[in-house]
Amino acid sequence: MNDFVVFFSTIVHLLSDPFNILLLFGASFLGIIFGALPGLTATLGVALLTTLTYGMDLNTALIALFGMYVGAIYGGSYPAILINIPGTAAAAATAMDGYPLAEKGEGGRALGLTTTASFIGTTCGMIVLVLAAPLITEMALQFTSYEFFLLAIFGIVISGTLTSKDLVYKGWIAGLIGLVLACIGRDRLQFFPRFTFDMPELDGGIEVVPVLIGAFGIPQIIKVLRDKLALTQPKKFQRILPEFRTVVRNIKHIVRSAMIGVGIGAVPGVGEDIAGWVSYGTAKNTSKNPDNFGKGEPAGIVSSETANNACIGGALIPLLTLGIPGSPPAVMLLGALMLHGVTPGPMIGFEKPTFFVEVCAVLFLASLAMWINGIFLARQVVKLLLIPTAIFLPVVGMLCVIGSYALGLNIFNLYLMVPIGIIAYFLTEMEYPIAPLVIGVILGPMADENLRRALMVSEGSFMPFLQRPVAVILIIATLLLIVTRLPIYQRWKDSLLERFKHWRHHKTL
Amino acid sequence: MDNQTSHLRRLDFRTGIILALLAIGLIWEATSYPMSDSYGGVQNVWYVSPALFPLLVGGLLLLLSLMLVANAVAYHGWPGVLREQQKTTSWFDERNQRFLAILVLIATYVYAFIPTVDFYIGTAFFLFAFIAAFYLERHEMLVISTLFFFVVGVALGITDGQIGKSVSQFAVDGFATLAFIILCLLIVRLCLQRALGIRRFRTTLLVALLVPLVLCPVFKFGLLVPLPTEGFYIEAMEQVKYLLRASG
Repeated sequence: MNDFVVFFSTIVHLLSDPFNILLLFGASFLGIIFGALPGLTATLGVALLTTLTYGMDLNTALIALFGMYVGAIYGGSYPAILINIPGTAAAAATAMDGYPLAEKGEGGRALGLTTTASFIGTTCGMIVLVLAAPLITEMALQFTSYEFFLLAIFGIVISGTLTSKDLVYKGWIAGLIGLVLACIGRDRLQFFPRFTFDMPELDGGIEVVPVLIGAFGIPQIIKVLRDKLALTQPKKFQRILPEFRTVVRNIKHIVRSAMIGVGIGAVPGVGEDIAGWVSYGTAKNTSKNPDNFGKGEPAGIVSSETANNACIGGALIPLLTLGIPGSPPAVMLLGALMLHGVTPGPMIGFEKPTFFVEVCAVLFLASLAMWINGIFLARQVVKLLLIPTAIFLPVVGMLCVIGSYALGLNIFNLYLMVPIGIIAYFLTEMEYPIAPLVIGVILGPMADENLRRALMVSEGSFMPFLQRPVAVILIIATLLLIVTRLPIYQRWKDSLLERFKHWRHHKTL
Repeated sequence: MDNQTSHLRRLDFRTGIILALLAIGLIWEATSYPMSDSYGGVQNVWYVSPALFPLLVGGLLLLLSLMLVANAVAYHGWPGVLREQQKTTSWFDERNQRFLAILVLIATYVYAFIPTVDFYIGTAFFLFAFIAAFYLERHEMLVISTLFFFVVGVALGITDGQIGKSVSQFAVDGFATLAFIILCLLIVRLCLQRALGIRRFRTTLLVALLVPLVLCPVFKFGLLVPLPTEGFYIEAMEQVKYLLRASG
């Protein structure tokens, strides 16, 4: 009950300041633009906006950042529907059915559907967040160094496993490269300089913001400009209506997609893009008429858009309760929260008892602003799709530069950003995922410190890792993830299946 | 698809070796860290040593990179993995030239312009060269813009370290401005010669001049972020700000 009071009083309090309302709608609109322009992503948008929120107070900054995040995840659906090019990877599954609808002249209907579905998705994510977060914090309070070390490793392994498109261990390699980068600088326990090459600038370690902006921004700029991607003319569309009736008819898809979205969002480092695809695939497989998918089936659009927005709430669960970001944009949110003096983790329930509910209130406002912007301003955003990429990408490049500089006021960060961007470009060209690398940079210090703390307590013995129940569960989960993906296991499973089939065959004869 | 996998496996072979060497270097360096002796008066034991985590990460990286190499060899066999792939196009095709141009532009901006030239003119120059190279959609524009920007960058790089001593900041800014104007004239002439029309050139110039004109004050006066290098133009903006404040 008390939570409801806090929730509504936060909303009223935030909306009482006209500057906040302006900021909310502005950030949300900007987010939609970031999502809609191919080459700009939600992660980059949140990263660049973090620079601007530096001087604001916490709640105002959160309004801007969540407005941007929610808007950008939703905005990716515009070009997906109208020109068949998803603005962000999260909206890739939306293009499957959105573009055929637009070709039939029902683009307005498709846009209305994504708008309402995204709103419902974000709200569902928010509800799960407020229900689950206190429970997880409760549990996380029992965690000690053993669990935190294993949790960091688990996060990197699962993110690497799920985001890798080629060989699964390429994802793990990306995570390890992130951990190597995290090792640079003076170690936190004994202050011993590691891999600093006698450069004083490296003593403090590598900052996350330039890594993030370099690793996500520069490869995007290179890829789009290199291939001369010429965008086609957006399809015409009629009025955008909220499409409540279609949404109600697809309520079963919405509920399932929201759950999938939240679940995938909560997994460290795995974000909106995968949620969209998984949900779309599930909708197709469980549908009575799967043949309609890919030809303009509203259920397909609803499924992918509900899931990718529900992911936001899901990604915030491990971020706020454990300090482990659930998706790439959440990585940036972690950085932003720390800038404002909030350290996410199990202790947050004590330091700021109402923080979860306040975050939920902001998230709700952000999704409301997104919905209103989407219904009324979509036409303006579509005009922006006509700007040639060769004009806005150089501007983005320049924003990357000033964004990486402004947070630390350190030119050295820029010198780092460029090589990291180039390495990230080559890695993506060879099908390495980038998210695990950034997660590795974030979780590296946590893993390192907690491993040594844990061993200090046990005086070098590894036994406590096997004696604590949560630790054992984490170890088993990590090992299962690794072993089931190894080629040896696959071969073994195949031969077992083969033998089983053989046996059944004999039996039926 | 299969061709692509085969290409990927060849690349895997090389990256696997590079990563393995990196991992070995990592382990080598980490073994020199204090394991059991004392550092800064702290008696060390292996399990709190700063070397522990890098050794762990290095070991895993070595293992996985060797798996990468082994997998590539298993896919192609020994002679296959070493053989160069049949190339249909030359290495220096247009796609790679565009890639190289982006790299040169960004690197020159970050390493040569940012530390030496006033942020406004440096950024306007960068945006102009970058947009002209790609938006004007002519190969010679790409080459001229990129090379010109690079050469100016090298010249600026040489003056770095002398600024404030024998060279004044305003002189450097003046040099950059002059170079910027020369590039503009070069591009205009090319546009007219190739009958491209002046419209695209105008858009390029406008974006290049206006975007930093908005962003510099936002960062400098709105967010109170001191810009990396502040010279003639930022100084001028400051004067304008004082004038506005005095009059209003």
